[in-house]
Amino acid sequence: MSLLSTALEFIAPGRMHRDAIPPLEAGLRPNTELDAAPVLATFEDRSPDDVAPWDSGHLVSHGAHVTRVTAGGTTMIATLPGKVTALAATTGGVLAAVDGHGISHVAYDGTVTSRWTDDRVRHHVTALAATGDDSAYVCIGSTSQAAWEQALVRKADDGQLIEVAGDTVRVVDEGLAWPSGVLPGGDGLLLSLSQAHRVELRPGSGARSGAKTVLKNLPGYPGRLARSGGQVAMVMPYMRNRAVELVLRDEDLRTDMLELDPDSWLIPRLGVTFEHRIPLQVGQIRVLGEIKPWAPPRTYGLALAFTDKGLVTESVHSRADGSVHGITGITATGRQIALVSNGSGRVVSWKRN
Amino acid sequence: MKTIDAFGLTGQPWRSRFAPRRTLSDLLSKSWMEGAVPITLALCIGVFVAITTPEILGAGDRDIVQARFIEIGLLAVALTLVLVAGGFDLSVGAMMGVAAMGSLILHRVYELPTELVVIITLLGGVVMGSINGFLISIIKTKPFITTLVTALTFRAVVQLMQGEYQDRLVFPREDIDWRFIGAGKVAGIPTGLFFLVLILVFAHLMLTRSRWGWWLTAVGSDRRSARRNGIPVTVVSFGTYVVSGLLCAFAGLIMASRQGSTSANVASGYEIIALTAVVLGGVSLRGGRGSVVRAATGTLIVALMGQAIFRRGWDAGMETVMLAVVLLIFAALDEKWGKYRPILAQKLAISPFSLKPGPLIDVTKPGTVWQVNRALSDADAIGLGRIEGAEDCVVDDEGSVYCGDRRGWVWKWSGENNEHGEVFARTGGAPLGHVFDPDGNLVVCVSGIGVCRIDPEGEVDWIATRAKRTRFQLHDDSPLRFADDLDITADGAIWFSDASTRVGAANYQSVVAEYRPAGRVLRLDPDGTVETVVHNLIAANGIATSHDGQSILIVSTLTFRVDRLWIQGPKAGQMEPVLENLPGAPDNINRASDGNYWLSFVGLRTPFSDLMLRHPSARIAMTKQLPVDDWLVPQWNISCVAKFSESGEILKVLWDATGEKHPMVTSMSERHGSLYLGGLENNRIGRITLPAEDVGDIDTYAIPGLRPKDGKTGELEGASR
Repeated sequence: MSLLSTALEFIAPGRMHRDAIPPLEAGLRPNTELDAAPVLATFEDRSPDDVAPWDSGHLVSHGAHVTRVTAGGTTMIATLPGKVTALAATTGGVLAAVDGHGISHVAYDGTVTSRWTDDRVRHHVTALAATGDDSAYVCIGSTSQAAWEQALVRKADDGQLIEVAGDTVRVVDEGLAWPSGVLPGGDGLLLSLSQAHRVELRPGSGARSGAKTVLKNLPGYPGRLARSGGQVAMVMPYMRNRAVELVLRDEDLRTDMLELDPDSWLIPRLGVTFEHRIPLQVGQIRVLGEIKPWAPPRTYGLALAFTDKGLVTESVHSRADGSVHGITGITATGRQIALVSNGSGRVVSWKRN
Repeated sequence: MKTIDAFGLTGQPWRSRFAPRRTLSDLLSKSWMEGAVPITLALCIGVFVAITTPEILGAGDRDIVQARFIEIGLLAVALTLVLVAGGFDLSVGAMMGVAAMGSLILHRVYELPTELVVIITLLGGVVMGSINGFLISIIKTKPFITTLVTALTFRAVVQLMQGEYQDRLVFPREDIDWRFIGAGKVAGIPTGLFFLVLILVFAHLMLTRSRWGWWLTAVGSDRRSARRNGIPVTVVSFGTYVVSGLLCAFAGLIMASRQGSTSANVASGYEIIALTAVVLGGVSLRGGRGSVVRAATGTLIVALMGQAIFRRGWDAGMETVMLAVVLLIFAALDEKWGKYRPILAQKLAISPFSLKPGPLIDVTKPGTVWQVNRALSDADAIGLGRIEGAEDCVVDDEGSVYCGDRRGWVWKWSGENNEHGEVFARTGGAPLGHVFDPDGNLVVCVSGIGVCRIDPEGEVDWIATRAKRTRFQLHDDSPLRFADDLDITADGAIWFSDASTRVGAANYQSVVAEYRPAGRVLRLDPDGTVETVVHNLIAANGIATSHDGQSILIVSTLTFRVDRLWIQGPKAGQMEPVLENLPGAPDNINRASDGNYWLSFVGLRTPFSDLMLRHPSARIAMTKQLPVDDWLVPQWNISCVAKFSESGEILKVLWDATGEKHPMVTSMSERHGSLYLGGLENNRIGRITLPAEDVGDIDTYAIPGLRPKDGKTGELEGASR
């Protein structure tokens, strides 16, 4: 904050705009439904990331594996050569983004076929959406940073939206703040920009010109998207935190923090198991034996549904005292939604009203 | 013993002692600062007037200035008293006029003796003031409109009197007594000035030092609160108008004697002059704040200004214009200064300190003595859910546990499994450190109050509530705001820590945000005197007498260290480090039965909390921009208890790995083979049975070096009385 802007703010406070983190209200009113949600599967290593529909169940990616989750239990169907960073349903199976390898097709029987191995789609894929048998949209979180938190603290803002079709790989847009969800169809292409706290509706081609903002200044960092009963369902893997934003504003502190081990940074996280070296805020102190549900979020669980006009209609939460945190994966069949909680290792189901 | 300055332990350069923000905050917080700015500006105006128009200081002018000073001064005192009590009096000039005209009539027309004239005039003033007081305080009309109306009425009375008596008023009557009032001298001082000074001194003492003055201020500050505190608001308010009438009548008397003016306009416009004088002196128009001495200073400046304008030959109307301008400027200043001074002081109060702690031991890496375990995770709970925040606990001979509570209570948990809880004593503060004295009394450090002794019947006796104030320091450090932990030595002295001279336990997060050396260790002598032995510690906390009784161990929570203060032997009066650069923030310290010491940790340092210590400006931003719940603190949710030897070697560390039961262990006490755990934010006291290898044959509660009584080791036969 420069001296000039301070002076301007003093003279005309009404004209200054500063993005405050909005409270969770209206459609985002907190509840504890995620903690009470039916559990479809639990991955003890807390590694599940994305989910795609399958016949009478789901396919879940965790680490380098793809596992089938049904009412009867879990069966691992495929192991890929690298970490699976996104799944998308397609004809006869799923598309899986394999880190360091490219995009492969995993058939329901477990057969893996490599589809696109272009350099541009080999790394840092965060979301996939198939648009046909042989085409898909690919979100690259950042071309320089592998990890979400690195991109956040380094303010990378160099993500890409890529369209793959047949043999062509085309960069639709670049310079994006960690795109983390893409949903084609209907009247355009929805794109969630995690580190810009924004969801955009772009024209069918995905071009930046003509993009409309559907949701802006969200209280969290939006993630993957799914279409559900005429609306859009979205996960919010991380929540914003005032102290984190203070650190990101303070250049000295931010650069000094980069020198620390990322495990001890002050950043939003998907899940925390061992907090001995992790920063703490006053509201997070365990008082009289309890963690307060309203504690400033370090980890949080949130999935929400909104209309094409950007009105949030409903949401499911797991608050600071809950455990189903870090919701990363989502897939919907009508109003029945499956969510992956990376923080707790659970796959839970959400039946929308 | 000379007070030891522990500033060096912070490792920061000497210049870091200065905290300009905080000094400014301390300065702004002083109650005298409220009037300091207006009065300084007023004096500047006075000096400016005197320099530009030096004639007014000449011998001839001096008399005129003095006369005006006396008359307006009396009105200013009257107005100040009314304003301080939250009222307003526009009728001061008119009452003065009635008194001047009335006394002149009594003296010249009815030829009454001077003494009688004085008495009748003053009584008349009281009657006029009572009319105002009756309407405003009893009928509850608005002061402004009421006194405006009475002013007009009194002015009309003057005109009526003048019309009735003007023919008979013109002849002066020679009377030495009458002249004495206006032109006489008492002890070489003009009568009026003599009485004005007398009244000023009296009114100042009354306003600042008497119950009546406090009532006045209270009523003016907040009428409703004053009434709820049992102050007779109506009587106090009524009284100010009566006093106002009395003083105005006296001013009128002096004026009548001096001038003998028979004009119907006598003393007209004086209310606005008096008001300007009062506001120049920094008396608040919003009530509750003001001083008669400053009002008198304002009067002098107004008198000088008036004379200067006369000397320069400007129109008389110019004086009114000048006064109006000054009045407006100062009224605006009063409003803004009164509003923003406390806010500014509060904003500047936290002045973070830069600290560079040593490298952080990673407790999550296996292979060190600090390796995380579950030794405390299955502790038995005492008073679960009923205790709220027991920082410390002690156990008596019968096994009953005594602990504090944030509601100000001291609990006693008796019974076989300490299941029977009762409130043993109520302190009114936040009980933190506990220890038994040799007579079996419980001695408790209570944040917000000091140190108390609680006898076995639960009677609370305060034995230390104040320390000597540090000289040449703006901040008053005599109250014991954050008495934290204590221990007793063989000579009967109680050594206790005061974690911060600025805030109490309820605001400990601001100590953590600031990290500035503001803590101290004090010694309470058996004769009751309190002396500071170590100062400039950052969050002085745990205190324990060493096993040999020769030294005191002092924990500095936020510099992550334990130091030894020698109190006997060749090194007496010296401090030396025992433990430095601990991986957490140590809290309380106690003797262990095997000749070692127990040390609890309120929480752990984290790489990020260490980083914040190096960034004071980020902490300023944090305290200004974020609500307290968003402030960054070290990892208070995980803590441990360590055992260390006399030489400062960590022997073993007991953890609650998950932090679910004992997230913040602020103290531990070993007794009868068990270790009891307290937690400032916890809802229980924990107890673990110590393994045999940890239990020695030293009585941890015996005061080291104290001769055994009745054959027992040391202490405590009182507890079982």
